[in-house]
Amino acid sequence: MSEAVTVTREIVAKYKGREGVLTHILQDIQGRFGYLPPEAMEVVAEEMGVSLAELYGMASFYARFYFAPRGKTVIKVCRGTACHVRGSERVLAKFSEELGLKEGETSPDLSFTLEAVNCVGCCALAPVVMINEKVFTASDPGKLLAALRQGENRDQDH
Amino acid sequence: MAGMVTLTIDGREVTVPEGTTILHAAEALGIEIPHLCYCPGLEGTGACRLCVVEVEKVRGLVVACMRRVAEGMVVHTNTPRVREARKFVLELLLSRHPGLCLSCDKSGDCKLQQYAYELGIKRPFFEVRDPGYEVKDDLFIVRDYNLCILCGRCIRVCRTQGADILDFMKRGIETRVGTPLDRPLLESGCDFCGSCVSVCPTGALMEKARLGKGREWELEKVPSRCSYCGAACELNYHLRRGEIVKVSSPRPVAYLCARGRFGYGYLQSGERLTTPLVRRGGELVPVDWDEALSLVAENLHQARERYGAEGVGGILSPLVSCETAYAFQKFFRAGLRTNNVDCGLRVGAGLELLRHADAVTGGPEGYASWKDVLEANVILLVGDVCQRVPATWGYLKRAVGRGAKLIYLGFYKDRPARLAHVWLQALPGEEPLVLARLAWLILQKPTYRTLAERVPYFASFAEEVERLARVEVSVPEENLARAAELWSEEARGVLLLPVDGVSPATGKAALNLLLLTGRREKALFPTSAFVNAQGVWRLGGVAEFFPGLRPVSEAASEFAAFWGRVPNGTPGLSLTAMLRPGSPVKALYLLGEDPLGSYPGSGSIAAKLGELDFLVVQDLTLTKTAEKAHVVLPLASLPETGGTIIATHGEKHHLSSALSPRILMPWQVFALLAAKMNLELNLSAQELLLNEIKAVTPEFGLVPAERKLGFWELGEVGPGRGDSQLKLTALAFYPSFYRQDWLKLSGLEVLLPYEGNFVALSPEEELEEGAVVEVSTPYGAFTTRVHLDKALPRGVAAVPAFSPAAAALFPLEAPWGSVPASIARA
Repeated sequence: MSEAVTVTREIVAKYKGREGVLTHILQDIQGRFGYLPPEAMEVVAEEMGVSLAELYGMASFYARFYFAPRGKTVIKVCRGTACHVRGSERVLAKFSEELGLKEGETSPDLSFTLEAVNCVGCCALAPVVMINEKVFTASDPGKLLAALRQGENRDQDH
Repeated sequence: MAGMVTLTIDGREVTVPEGTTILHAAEALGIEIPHLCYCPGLEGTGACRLCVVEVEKVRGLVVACMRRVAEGMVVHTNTPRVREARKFVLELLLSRHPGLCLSCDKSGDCKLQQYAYELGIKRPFFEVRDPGYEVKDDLFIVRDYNLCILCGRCIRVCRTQGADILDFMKRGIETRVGTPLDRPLLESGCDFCGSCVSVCPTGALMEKARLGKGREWELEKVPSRCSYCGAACELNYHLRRGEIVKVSSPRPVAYLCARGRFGYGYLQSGERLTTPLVRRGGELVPVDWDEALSLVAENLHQARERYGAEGVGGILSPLVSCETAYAFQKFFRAGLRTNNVDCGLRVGAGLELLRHADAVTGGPEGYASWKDVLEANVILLVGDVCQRVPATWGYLKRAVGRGAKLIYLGFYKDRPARLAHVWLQALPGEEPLVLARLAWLILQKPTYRTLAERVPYFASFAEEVERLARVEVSVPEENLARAAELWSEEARGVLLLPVDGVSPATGKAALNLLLLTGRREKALFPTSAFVNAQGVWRLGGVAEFFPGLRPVSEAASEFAAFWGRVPNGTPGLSLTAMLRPGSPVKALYLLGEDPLGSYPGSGSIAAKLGELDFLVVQDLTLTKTAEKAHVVLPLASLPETGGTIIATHGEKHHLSSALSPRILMPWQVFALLAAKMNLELNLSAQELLLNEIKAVTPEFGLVPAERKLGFWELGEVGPGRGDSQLKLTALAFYPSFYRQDWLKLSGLEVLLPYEGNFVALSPEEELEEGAVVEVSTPYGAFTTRVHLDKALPRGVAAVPAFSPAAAALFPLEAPWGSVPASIARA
């Protein structure tokens, strides 16, 4: 039995018998795996007595549930109004070119995910990118990426 | 009047039951309120807002499909304000509908188009935006969500009677209908019932085979009935230039399974026989009808002369019309003066259990109807009914939705197991034991004991039940207790029994439960895989009865009066007796039956066919059996012949001929044969036959039956739990059917793993998916692939019913129990 199935059974067992717990269950699963693995979804549907379609319908309503594994580093390029004015389109294009990823894609080695988001609420820093949970001004995406990659190498050295 | 509400709609008064929606109340007056998301037969959701109406003293517009009527309500359904609102709603929908009615296949049948016309939308007010979704080219169905208006009908109908694999995905402007992870339908567990296509108001969901085959108004619609199983569901064939281009259900939510909706390919397949064939020098060569029929007449005559009445025989299919069946048996009984006429219903317990069913209910009048199923409080479902007769699933789900308690007896963990309140997971062979145990539990209740004690021969029944109840079974005690409680305490109970798909002991044990709880009338819903099982056996299609279920040994003189020739008064041989090696039959006529392809015991049947002097096969295509015949005659199918059929639950239907055959009708063939043999049998026209049937049996064989007084004895059953031998059983896997060749010619075999050539095992067994294995039973061996199926318990192997594997591995006499088996890598 896969890890996703075993872990999901444990998570579901914690909530079973209570109403309105589906989102909590999914959050816990995502917290554990970084996304919602299909085998986990099947377990939830079966155990909670909802159809798989309904479960995916409900989960896909929320932008922050993910259905595929995500990269170790998640780059979110802000596409809000202020960032747009300050050239976020070019920022996204640059990241896309450098990483070889289209918007919403994850690199096959699971190191990077590139996403566009609407507004992260730091318009003063526009154009903004969020790298994992940190906010940066992305006036020079190339430099940011270089720093990121260096940091990664450094991590590996230790 | 209590519970009734009177209101005024468009100036007219109407009284309807409390809780009725405005939309339905208007319908009662013949006023149609436009609607898109509401669909007759499904719950409303109030999503599209097209059905808005004005209600006096209510400020805003009211959604007619959701709002319940109130006393004194005054409704206006067609005011300028209402029309303006509807027009606006439609404009918004059209702004995301980049369809081109000029070339859309749905044109003429599209609700959006209809309302745009009715509301006078000449050109769209808003710019039309194309969502740019990729068109999903699925099996049998094309999904173009660019044309979808998000009414949600497909989602609701899939939930109500389908596989429940659709929902709205994402949110806001990105919302669209989809399957989990947007997988293709086949991978999502779709049954391909096509209900979603049926309810779709636009061109978003379309039958793939229908695309490019003509506009709606060019198609001719012929109402008919499905010939795939004993439910005989209502359907329409849509034809263009004599070719079926689509099949629809008469009402949007009426259920058709994949076979009914998409399985018509066999009817117009290039494999259909169009000319007779005769064997010359080992080869079958085409000849004209006259030559072929002369040969048949001569050989049948010779065999009759040389070997007597026992030497000739006919086996007919329970898939032909009553008129065809009647003509065939008359040709044999009156013409050849033999009663060796039998039909495929004999295989398994089908015939025996239909007779027992009548002995419970007092005849088909006493059977339960679909309505009784829907209104039941408790339903006992035995075996794989939902795969054999898929229409049952929709009814079961609705019945449970209305509060019925479902008890499911079967080893296979599929949808009924999930829907059931109590699942009795008996291993194959344990079913009669479990049913006997329920009887025993019910007998512990003093009221039932007192009632049952009055039944004749009660003592022997009680003794048997007592004995069988002591055998340990794999069903947990609390489930048995719960099932016994529900079955005995709930008011209206219905038993859904696949008469041709259970062992005789299982069938009898289930019928005993009906008798024990005093449920004779409207409590038994028999099902079978054969569209006209009832018609064929009631009209002379089985060895022991003349038409109208008159016993052969008693009624010869009676029929001499009808037929002008004295028939033989000796009962004929059953199909099993005729096909046994060494049987006296030397010349055999098979009408629409393919014993080598679809009967169990194919090994011994092949041996018997080898002993024959003469074999004539009349069928749609060159079947396995036909390949061995001396003469092969083309057969017209049921949609071509039309005629009368009787659904297994006792409803009689008259079908018109939907397709024009390019060959002789079956009764014309028998008439020509009779003429060549100088027999006057009056078989030449369907009307003649229909009139004769009415004269012989005005009830069409649906006669009252003598009621059985006591319970059925089950005899030896078992072995119960603790038997570690692997049990092999033939299970109907969706979309299985009696004639697998029809499914193949219609392209439906893709719905099964390995196109139906597999043995299913639990993933807990030590074999991997796709492994090539040899399955052996005492009756034969068969090499096939392993398919791992989570729905199977450990220790059980299953092969698809009616498959070549089932034919090789089971005996002709007992195909629907379980047999001990062993499996080894090949």
